[in-house]
This record gives sequence, C-alpha cells and structure tokens, in this order.
Amino acid sequence: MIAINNFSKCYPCPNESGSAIAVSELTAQVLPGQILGLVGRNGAGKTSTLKSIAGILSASGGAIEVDGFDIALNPVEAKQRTAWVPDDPELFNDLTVEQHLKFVASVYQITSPDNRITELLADFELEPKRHTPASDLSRGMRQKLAICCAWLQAPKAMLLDEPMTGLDPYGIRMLKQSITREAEKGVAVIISSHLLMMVEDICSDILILDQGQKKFYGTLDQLKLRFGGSNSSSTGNAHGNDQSSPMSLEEIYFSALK
Amino acid sequence: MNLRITHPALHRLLWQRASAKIHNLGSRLFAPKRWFINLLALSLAFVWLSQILFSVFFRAPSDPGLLAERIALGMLGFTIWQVTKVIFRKPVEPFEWTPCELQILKTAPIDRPELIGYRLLTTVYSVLLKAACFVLVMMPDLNFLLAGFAGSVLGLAFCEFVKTAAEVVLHGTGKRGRLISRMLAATGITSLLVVCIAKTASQPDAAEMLATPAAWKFLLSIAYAAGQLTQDGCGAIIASPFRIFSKVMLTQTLDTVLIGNTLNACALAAGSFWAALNADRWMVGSRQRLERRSLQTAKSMSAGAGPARSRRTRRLAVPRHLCGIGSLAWRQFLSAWHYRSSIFFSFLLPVILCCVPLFAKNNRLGTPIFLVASVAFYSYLLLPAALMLDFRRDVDRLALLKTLPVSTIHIVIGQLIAPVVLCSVFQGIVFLIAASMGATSATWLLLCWVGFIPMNLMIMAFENLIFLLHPYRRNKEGIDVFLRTILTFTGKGLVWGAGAALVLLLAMGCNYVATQVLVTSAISPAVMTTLLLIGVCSVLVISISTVLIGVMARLFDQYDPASDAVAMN
Repeated sequence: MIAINNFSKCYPCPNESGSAIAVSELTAQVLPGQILGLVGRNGAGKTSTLKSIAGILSASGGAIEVDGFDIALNPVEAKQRTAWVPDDPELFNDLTVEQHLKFVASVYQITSPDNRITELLADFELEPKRHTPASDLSRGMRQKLAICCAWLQAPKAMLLDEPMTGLDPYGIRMLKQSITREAEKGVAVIISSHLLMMVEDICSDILILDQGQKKFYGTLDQLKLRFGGSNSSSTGNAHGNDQSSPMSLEEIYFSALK
Repeated sequence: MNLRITHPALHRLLWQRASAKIHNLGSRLFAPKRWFINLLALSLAFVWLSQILFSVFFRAPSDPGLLAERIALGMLGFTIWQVTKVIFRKPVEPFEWTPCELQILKTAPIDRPELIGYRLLTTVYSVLLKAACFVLVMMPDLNFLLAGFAGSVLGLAFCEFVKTAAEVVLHGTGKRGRLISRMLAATGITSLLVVCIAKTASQPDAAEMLATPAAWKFLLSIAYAAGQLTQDGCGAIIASPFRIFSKVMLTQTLDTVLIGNTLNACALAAGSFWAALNADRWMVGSRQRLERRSLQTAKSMSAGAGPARSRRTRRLAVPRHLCGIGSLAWRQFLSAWHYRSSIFFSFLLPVILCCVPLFAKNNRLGTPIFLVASVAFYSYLLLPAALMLDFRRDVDRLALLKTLPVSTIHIVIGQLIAPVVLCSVFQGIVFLIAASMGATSATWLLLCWVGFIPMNLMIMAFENLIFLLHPYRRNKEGIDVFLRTILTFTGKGLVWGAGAALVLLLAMGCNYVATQVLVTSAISPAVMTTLLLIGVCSVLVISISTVLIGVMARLFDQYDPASDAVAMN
C-alpha cells in the first residue's frame, strides 16, 4: 500500500529568494491491487510526487508511506518494497544488460535470480542483448531494461513514470499485461502518463493534478459521473433519433481541468 | 551498529565498472579512427614520463626537515584554498550523482551513509593515482616508498574529505549562515594577509625587494611569513595534522615513531571520512528544515499573508540576426552571467599575478615587457581552463547543436565569441590597472590590448580544436584523460615556444624595417617597430585563427554523436 498524507514539495526559485510549490498538501492512498493513474498537465507535480515516493526527492511537508514504512524515517525498508521505472531511463553505460540485472538483484538481495532474469529477458525480447553494454541499446530497449530491473524484485509498490515512452507495440502490450498481472498479485501501482487511453485501459483509479493541487481523486466511474455526466454530447442519427453518447476520457479530463 | 563503509553490491558495481572502463579504454586506444592521435599521445606520454623519471633519478635529495615542512604547509594551503572556494561560491549539491546513479542507486534500498561511503570511495581511487604520481616524483627524497605512498594517500584523502565536509556543511546552511561564514572567512583571510604583509614590510630589505623587477620576491616573503605563523600558537595546531602526514611520507627510520605517526595519520583520515559522513547526516536534516520553512513562507505568500516579491528579471535581448552567431553567443553569455562568481574568482588570481611586475619601480622598459608577457602567459595557460563557455561545456549538446539551422562555420564562431570577449575583458582590466598606475604609456597599452584580441581568438580556437579532436567530459578522471592532458600540455608548450621564437624573429625584422627601410621623421623608430610588430602579429594570428576555425568547422561537421559521444555514467 502507498499512503500519501498531506504531501507537499517546494523548490527554491533560481535568482529569487522564494520557493515554488510543486505539490501542495496531496493526500491519496493506493491499496494493494489498485492501479492509480496520475495525470495532469506538464509541470503539474506528477514526477515530483513519484520521485518523492521513490525516495529520490525528500518531501517538504507531510509524509509518504510504502507498505507501512515512512520513506523519510525508514528509507531502506520503504525502498526495498518499491519498484521505480523512470520516463527516461539512465543506465550504467559500462555494464551489460545481464550485469545490470545482477547488480539490481544483489542490491535488493534477491537469492538465485538467474531464472527470473532469463524469464524477464525472454518476455521483453532482450535475450539476444544479454551481453550487450547499455550504451549500445536503443531508446526502447533501455526502457525495457529499466522495466526488467523494476520487475526483478517482488515489490509491494510500483511507480511508473511515462513507462510506454519508446516502447514498440509488442512492448506496450507486454507491459500493460504485466502491470495488470502484478496488480492482481497485490502490488499497489501508480502510473503517471499522458496516454489517457492507456490509463482508461488499465487503471482502476485516477488522480488529476493541476499546478500541484489535487483536482480529482477517485475511480474512473466517479470521474465520469462528476465531470462527464451532464456534459454528454448529443448526436442525431440517420433516423432522426437523438442519441446521447458518453464523453471520452479525454473530454472528461479537459472538463476536469477547466 | 552498521560498521560497513558501503553496500557489498556497490563494491561489485565499482569493480564491474572499473573492469568495463579498462576494456573500453583498450578498444578506444586501438580504434582505427583515433589511432594517430592515440599513438601521438602515448609517445608524448612516454617521452614525458621517461624524462621525469630520468630527472627524478638524478636529482639530489632535498633536506628532509625542510621538505617535510614545505609538504605540510603545501597541503594546508591547498586545503584552505579549497575550503575558501567552497565558502565563497554558490552552494551546489556536494555529492555529484550521475543521472543513472540518481535513478538506480537513490531508489535502491541502500542506506544513505553507505551511498555517501560509495561516493567517497570513488574519490579514494583518484587519490591513489595522485599519490602514486607523487611518490614517483619524490622518489629520491623517500627512504621508504611504502611509507611515502601511505603518507601521501592518507594526506590527500584527508584534504579531500575535509573539503567535502565543508561543502556538505555549506550546502546545509541557510542564507544567513552562509553570509556569516563568508564574512568570517573574508575577515580571517584579510587579517592573515595584513599580518603577513606587515611582517614582511617590517623586514629591513623590504624596500629593496620592491624596487627590483623581481617583485615576486616580496610575494614569496609574504608566503614565507604565512608559513612562520604556523610555527606556534593557533597556527601550529591547525598545521599539526598535515605535519603528521609529511612525517610519515619522509620518515628516515622504521621505528615506533613511524608506527605512531602512521596510526595518527590513519585516525585523521578516518576521522575526516567520519566527519564528512556525519556532516551529510546533519545536512539532510538541515535541508529538510530549511525546505519546510520555505514551504511555509511560500504558502503564506501565496495566501496573501506576505508581501508579494517583485520578480526581477534581467533582460538581455537575443540578437536575431548575424546568421545565428548572435543567438549562440547570447546563450554562452547567459551562462557566463550564471557562473559570474566562479569566473570572478578564476580571474582574480591571474589579475593579481599579472600585476606583480607593476610593483617593480623605476623600470620603464622592463615593467611593460614583463606585464605583457605575464598577460600572454596567463591568457594562454589559465584562462582557457576557466572560460569553458564553448564547445567544451557543450559536450552533451553537440548533437543538438548539429540540428540547429545554422551553418557550421557560424556555429563555431558563435561558440567562440563569449570566451574571447571575456578573455579580452580580463586583459583590459590588467591594462587599465597598469595605465592607472602610470606603469607605461596608455596608448601603448591600448595598442597591446587590441593586439591581444586576435590572439585570444587563436587560443580559444586551439583549445576547442583539441576538444573536437578528442571530446571529453569535464571532471572526468582516468588514463585516457591523462593522455589527453599530456597531449594538450605538450602541444600548447610547443606552440608557446614556437610563438615566442616567431615573435622575437618578427620583432627583429620589424626593427630592421623601421630603422633601415621605413625611416621617417614623423614617427620614431621605436613606435614604428611596435606598430609594425602588432600589425604583422595580428595578421599572422588572424590567419592562423581563420585556418583553425575552418578545421574546427570541418571536425564539427564530421562529429558523429553515435560513435564520438563520451560516456557519462
């Protein structure tokens, strides 16, 4: 479970003495098995939130817990239970694909990871690149390797920041399936994405951020009910009957941000 | 209690990366595209190293006591200089993490002290290399090589960790704390200088020292006076750790004293390591408190509780024309403004050093020559490293630069403008000081300054040409960087020597023309010689710069981001 309580994050403004608030007093909870879609405009505070949950950034206010462990008070325990897939994966260019996975296995103290490594490399079509240095991988393959590193451990929480970037259609399908599979196993998942169709496909809940503020937090049905119900567009068909068609998630999203 | 310095997985990572780096170095050294430059660098490295070894083996050993004192004070001076720089510069994240370390290591279940231990351990590797070089150079003075190496490693590690601890503390300090530390440091340094200058000036031969062209003797005496301050009282306490390291390095006998000193040195190095770790622990808490406080302020301001601070923006119009040159130069000038304090400090020392000849009194002929030679020397040696506002800073943006709708030649010119202008500003400041002190004729200084501008272009073009031949990342360490440094240094030395010889020949030629061919009553032969020399040199330097810019443009055109890009992680 991921519990975000009153979380705020501010950054010092360059050339000014003040600070800019990236996220303000955000409260949300992602239960085991839940997949939360984190959406919002650029600069809404999505990545700051994810990075703070992952332990890259410290919270300026409030608290974040992963599986009951506070990321500020028990960072090692919290990180042990968290998997992080960044939007632009940075890898150790000197290490090969296999060395990356073995390093991650040793950091997360995974005993006998070889079978799992082979399985993941086959799933994400990286087996032929097993001994290739990360510097020689394409953008999509780097993304796949970052996903494999995250999938290697058995996390309780998964954080994915624009995970589909650079993936081919097969990779996208594979990733969607495995996210759903992991959620079914009881992992709490947060996905930040601008691909609303993907969010609609796999997410059970949605959190819309706008300028660091929570705009909406609830299930997709609640979102549709709140922002899509009254604004349904009417279209006439060939027989002259008016038929009310439901708004797409994209339309609902824009309506929520208004 | 966790007594591990770092996580076992990080040891494995360090080892794997080191072996991968060696493998990559091998493939880079024998890459067909770079075989010529690598062969040249290796040959020069061999020549240099054999020459150093030759001179080292035939050098008479220095007086151990005096040398130990000099090494200790050298390390003390270096540490003070490093800490002063840290205090006065804009606070930056003390531990530099590559993006991949940030993404992989910072999200991994690794305790922060272990991560910091990993970062500090990576510093120790460079310390080992430096200590090995130091031992090589100091061989005739070392009775026991192992003790010399151990003392150097521990001493250098101590300096590094103290500097890191200072960086960490400053990063965790608020604005007011930083201001107080700056004021304290400024007061301390000024008092120290005043005391040393007063001590030197009170010597009977002070006036005589100032009256000679070699006024550097006076500066040396000031440094000597500073060294004297470490002989007793507070100074002795501050210098005492460094004396322990030098005693270990230059030990004469293997006895219990050496064992005691080595244990002390180990304790000091371990203590500084521990101090850096604990400083980091304190810094994390302090940063969190500062962030919470600024969050409260930001919230109250956004709620209208506080006065809205007017946003100050500095306007600098982007030049829209000049074929893209203006835009590129504008970007580099913005960076220069951003790093203005670092640039100011890197200018300060060369300006002081260049002005040393001005202290020499009653020398109308020597002073201007010494002044110009100093300006040329520092412009050539120090400023290119301080003014990396060109291709050298854009190692990660070379691919982006290639996509700009600007012709290659214009990109090259645009990239060179900022360092050339700033270099000229430095020279202008020195000449202005010289003119205001009445050291020599203002017109002559103005002519020299104008003459220096094309030389600056040539220097910066030369630096960038070397960079484009072999792109590298700043702050990177390793054998390939060592080879590159050797190549650059040797190349620059050769060009400097050849340039000086050429200027001398040209001066003789111009003197001949001025006294034998263009004899006129309107202009004196001396002025005519100067004018001719500046004119000829300018034409020559501009021609060389044009060729260099052309070659740079060609190299930049040939730069392949896929194969020539330097690894970052």
